[in-house]
Amino acid sequence: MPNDVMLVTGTRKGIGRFLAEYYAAGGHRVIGCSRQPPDWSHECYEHVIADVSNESDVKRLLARIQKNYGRLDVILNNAGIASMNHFLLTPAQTAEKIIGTNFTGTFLICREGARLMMKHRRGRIVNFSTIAVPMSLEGEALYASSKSAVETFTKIIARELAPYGITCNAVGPAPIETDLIKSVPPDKIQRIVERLAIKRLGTFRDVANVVDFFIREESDYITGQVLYLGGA
Amino acid sequence: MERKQIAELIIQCLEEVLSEMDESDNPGNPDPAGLSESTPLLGRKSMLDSLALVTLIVSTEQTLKERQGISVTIVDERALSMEKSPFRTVGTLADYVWTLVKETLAHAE
Repeated sequence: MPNDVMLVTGTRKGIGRFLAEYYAAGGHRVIGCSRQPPDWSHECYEHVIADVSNESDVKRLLARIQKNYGRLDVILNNAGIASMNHFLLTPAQTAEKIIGTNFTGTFLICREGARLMMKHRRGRIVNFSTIAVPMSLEGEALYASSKSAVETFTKIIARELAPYGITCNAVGPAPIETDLIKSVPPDKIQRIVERLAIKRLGTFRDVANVVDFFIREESDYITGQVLYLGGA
Repeated sequence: MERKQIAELIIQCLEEVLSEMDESDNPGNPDPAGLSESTPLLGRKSMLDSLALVTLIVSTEQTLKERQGISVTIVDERALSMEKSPFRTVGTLADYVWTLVKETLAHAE
């Protein structure tokens, strides 16, 4: 709803930037974060430098939202990193980084954000998965596994947060032209697209459409769901 | 800040949590004026179910942060491994939160 206070993680570029600009233009008060400063701005947008995998950063981010706005209505846990590689050639440090940002980051933002939402007995959380989970894509073992964890986490906290009027769902985008897939060979992307029911790349607008659905007022009976794009 | 203020804050949060519980969930809901440091939070004599206890702990943390600007994490490894749970009564919880507050303030100096 317009004037809602929304937190979007990973807003420096890609889907996060699109969603932040889209909802700021729609009248939301949007707070975004990333590890590096963005090169864009909007009158309804406030940026905070924060690493979602760092507990202190997340607590500082949510304390700032509490202080400046007094409430939080929507969380979009978009921040994520990927490293496409055969698992036999994946360093442990890379695995830790992927799990840290994609899963621990989602957990920390949900935990601290839900505490703000609880007070008002209302909230919408949308986590980000990927079609790599149901499609079990080779080369994405760590990335897809981290997102599998996000899905399970989403389903369980949906139950734990329901008594507080907070819904929690996840969207699983198909490949979109972003930095996340820039290192993936075009022929591999094409093979993934060929396995989708709808054989095209996803768009930012496709993702926003699902988020719109999850966060609308009338979706207060929809929680613990994962919606994949493209018919994965 | 004094320990007494923490106990009062917990009782205020407890009143709020109890007022939000359905009467059917909490048939023995006492007069809020009857709440004291000896009010049990765990066990058969507690008026709280597990969800209400979670709500009380989060509410205590949030209220402490809002009113006093002090951020503590009540449920940590230490709290869970203590021989006697700090969540037994309002008083034992106040003792534990007071310990955390003192540590936080000392660390900030």
